[in-house]
Amino acid sequence: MQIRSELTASHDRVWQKLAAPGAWLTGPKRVAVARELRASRDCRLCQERKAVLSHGAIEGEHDTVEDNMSASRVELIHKLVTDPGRITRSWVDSLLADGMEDVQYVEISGLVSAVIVVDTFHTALGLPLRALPEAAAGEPTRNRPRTAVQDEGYVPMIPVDGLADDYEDLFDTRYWVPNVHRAFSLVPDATRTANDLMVSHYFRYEMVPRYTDADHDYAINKTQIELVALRVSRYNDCFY
Amino acid sequence: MEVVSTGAGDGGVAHGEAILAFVDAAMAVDPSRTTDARERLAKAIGDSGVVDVAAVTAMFQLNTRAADSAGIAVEGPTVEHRSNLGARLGFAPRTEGIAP
Repeated sequence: MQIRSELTASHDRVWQKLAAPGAWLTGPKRVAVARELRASRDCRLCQERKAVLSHGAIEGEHDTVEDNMSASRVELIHKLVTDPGRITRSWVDSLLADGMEDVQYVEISGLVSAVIVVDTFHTALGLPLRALPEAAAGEPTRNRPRTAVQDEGYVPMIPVDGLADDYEDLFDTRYWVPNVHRAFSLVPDATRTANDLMVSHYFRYEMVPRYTDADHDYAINKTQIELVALRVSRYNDCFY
Repeated sequence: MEVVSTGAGDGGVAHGEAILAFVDAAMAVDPSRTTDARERLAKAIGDSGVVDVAAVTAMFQLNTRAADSAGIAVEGPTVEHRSNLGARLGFAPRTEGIAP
């Protein structure tokens, strides 16, 4: 099966960033997140919680492969993978109260989400999962965007009129910027990764509300594309 | 509405049933089911189409998690987009614009 080169290239870039130091996590810590992500699919606690209405009623410990990872980080990764539709403000606040920084929360959320894109694509096509990369050395950048603000969301985000410094091109403000594009903006590079994947897998964020079948060469049409998007959203219980 | 919620029927979308069977199998991470669904879909829309469906499926794994993890607000243009989509797929748009 022929796979469009832009898809493979975008996956390569996700893997390069996965291995490299990020904004707040080192390369080894980021690769550990990916290892734990893959292990979470077999977690018995997650499976039990997924099956009940009140997941908080099921207590226990996650099946984990990372002995040195904090419980809150394991909880975040597992929840993101197995039950993201039931993430609540109080749950996020509990992680932050437990010592996780909001920037770490966003970096891990962005990383988990990006790796899941690559993994889902491979499993859907019956391809083996990509081997996780060797982590690179180096220190995180520790750059927090100075214009990020806490508004309605669970975490601070960069407002559309808050582009500055080395993230001044993060959004294309010539068009309407959907909130989902801003979701990971507390860690701008996570937003860049998401948009990079969007360009090769779907459309860049600012195109989404206005694209037509004249704007692409995909073998499926807009109605088919949106049917897929809706079905995945329904599957993940996504409110957006 | 039923086609999105349950995967039953095709919602009037060309090859909708085969598309949804493939998406469901991919999301369930069920290799044998995915293989069968992929082969069926390939017969309907070709290999390129299968790759495109896989790509969109994968991409929305990120978008749903981005929205849910950050708790973003649903804004006006999103409601409008969802309503238009609902009309195209043949289900009544909801006032909040939230997908069924």
